[in-house]
Amino acid sequence: MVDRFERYSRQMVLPGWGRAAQERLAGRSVAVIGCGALGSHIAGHLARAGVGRLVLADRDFVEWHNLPRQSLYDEADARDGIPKAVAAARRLRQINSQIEIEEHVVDVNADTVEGLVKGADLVLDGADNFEVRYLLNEACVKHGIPWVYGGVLGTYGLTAAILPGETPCLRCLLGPMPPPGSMPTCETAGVLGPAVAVIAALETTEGFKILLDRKEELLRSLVMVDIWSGDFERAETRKAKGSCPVCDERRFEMLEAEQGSMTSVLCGRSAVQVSPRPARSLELETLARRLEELGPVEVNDYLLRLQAEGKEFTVFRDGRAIIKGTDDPSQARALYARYIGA
Amino acid sequence: MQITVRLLASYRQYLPEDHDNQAGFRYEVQPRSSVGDILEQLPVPADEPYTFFVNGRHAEREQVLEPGDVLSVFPAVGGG
Repeated sequence: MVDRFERYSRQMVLPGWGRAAQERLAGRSVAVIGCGALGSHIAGHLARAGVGRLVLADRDFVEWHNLPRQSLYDEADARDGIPKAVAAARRLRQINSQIEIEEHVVDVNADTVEGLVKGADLVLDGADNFEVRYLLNEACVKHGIPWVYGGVLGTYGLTAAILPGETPCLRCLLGPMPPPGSMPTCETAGVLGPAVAVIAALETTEGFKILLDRKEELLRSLVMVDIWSGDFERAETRKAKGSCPVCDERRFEMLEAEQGSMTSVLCGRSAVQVSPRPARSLELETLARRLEELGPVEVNDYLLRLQAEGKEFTVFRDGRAIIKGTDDPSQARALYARYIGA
Repeated sequence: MQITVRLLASYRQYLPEDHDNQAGFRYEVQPRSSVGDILEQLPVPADEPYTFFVNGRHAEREQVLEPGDVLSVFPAVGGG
């Protein structure tokens, strides 16, 4: 019988690695939050390296403009509008059938984030906005889970590993969360695939050190890279004797916030996500029959798509909808009520 | 006293002309200025989160600068 670790021979031969490290990886669980450009590179590295269990979370579906940099997806996924978590899991199972993959088509918010990260040995950041990252920071600090922040924009990116209680947290490093919509995004400022690949590689490598209990080798730095200008910077980070509201005072304001709004504007995309709370269960086929008279409808195993009133509605089984063609939350709520139901 | 300031990534657009960004630009500051004092004077957007370090170490706003210190500023990055 072929040794199941034979495929990892080229990494097991690395100094300090060996079979013991490989077995350790096989016993570890990692949550990848967001399966866009960063998340798909990260999840690919983890699956190929033989990390035993991956939890993938993403709210979105594959679109054509994702293909230049989101390495797990192909034209069929974009044509069929497959949810990213589903397409990623499918591809990763083809890459490595030895590992367990749990995919969640879900909006990562105060209701869902703790369920996604609890039980993980490590959380890696594949998100595309600050709101999710600050929420992840609170969830990981609260539950003592190490996580690695990474962000990319244009040709540059930033990453840092965060060990709750030992290193500064994201709030210590970057200050208060910027208001949603106030910062440039990949949609508004562009993003270059290789810049994502570099930051994803750095995130994953710090992640390996955590998973393999080699924390003394962590960079303990903020690493900044601009692959176009050739700036490579590394700034040592230390936990200050401060009063960080999150990691010193343990105030988790985002996690504990009342969920007032059920809408979020997807920055730079002229789209609004409407999330009924609590999540509901929709029969997409039944809904499709009802909506057919109102506009062209397509439905697959995961989502329904309707064109109506110059808008594109993408409706998921949990009742969530992404309405493209508006950035007005109240209009989006009204459209949701009209077409899908209050 | 003089310090050196480096503005990185998208903040390069705020650099004075004829600078050398690897070396940074020289900046005259009042003795005992804090990092926060200088950040307020720099042309980076005040309402955006950014990160900053002094002589290659992540710094606090309250840190008092010494002559010859190198202050680098990098925007927080939210895409992915």
